[in-house]
Amino acid sequence: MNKKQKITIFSGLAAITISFAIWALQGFHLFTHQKIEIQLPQSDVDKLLGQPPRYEWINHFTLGLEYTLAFTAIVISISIVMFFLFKNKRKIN
Amino acid sequence: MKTSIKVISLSILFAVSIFPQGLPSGQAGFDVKASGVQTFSFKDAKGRNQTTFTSITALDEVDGTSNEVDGKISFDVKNVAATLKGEISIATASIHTGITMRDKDLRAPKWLDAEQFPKISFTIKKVTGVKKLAANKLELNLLGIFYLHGIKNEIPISATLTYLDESPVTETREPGDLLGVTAKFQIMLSKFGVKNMVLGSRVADKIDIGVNIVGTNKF
Repeated sequence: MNKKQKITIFSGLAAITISFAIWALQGFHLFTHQKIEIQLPQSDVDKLLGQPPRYEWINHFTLGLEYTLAFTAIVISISIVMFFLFKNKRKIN
Repeated sequence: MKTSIKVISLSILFAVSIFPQGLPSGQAGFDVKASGVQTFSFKDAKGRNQTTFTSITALDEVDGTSNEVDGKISFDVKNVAATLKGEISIATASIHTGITMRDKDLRAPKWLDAEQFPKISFTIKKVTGVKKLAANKLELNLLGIFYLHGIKNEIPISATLTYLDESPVTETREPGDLLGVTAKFQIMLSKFGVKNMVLGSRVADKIDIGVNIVGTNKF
């Protein structure tokens, strides 16, 4: 394994590790969310009417496992291709 | 004479124990300024009325909301149990779950088919078990027709009704007397003809529904 191949493997592993770290930090969601629910503050009237807090959707990207796995597959494929491209070619006398 | 007093006392004690609010449940109503039959509309242009949906499976938890609530209910303020009637509905296409693709799938024919069945509704048929929690608050059990995906099924719902007379405080939300309704119940999707292959794995058959709505009698 030459230097370029080592860099390819380590870069690929780093990218995969980072994507899984982001997925874990964002809550281990199975599917990618484009929006998240936020709880709205209750008004005095709503409290008197016995209404529980309402929720609103706001735009917020949350990475899911399906996108993480797809990204991992792409990184592995590119790494394999690059690994073979960077292979030392022997000179034939 | 002493026996008669004992019998009367026991009868009073018995009545009090059965009807702690002093009224049979069939005649329970609100002790508020308003009287007679009142009709409340739950159509809120600001979209503050909300229904929530939760599906929990081993694979995923799906939370959904709809803010496009419509419908009216009416009742005699002093006799809610015997006079409560009406229908509450939501627009099928208004359900959001936080995932754009999933929202599209939900509206598609293989799920709720929003194009063919644009409304999900509940029509009150019968009121039972009215409990007076406060002068303006009633807890009751509703039996009604739930309509989803073109199929009607009778389901029970536990609801709490809170009545507020019009005041400067209620006007901060909207004009008129206000009626707050909260309810929680469950439905089985398979009983409404929703038989998708991922039902039971990614989406639960049993869906928990919450209703948090406020209506006004000035609409």
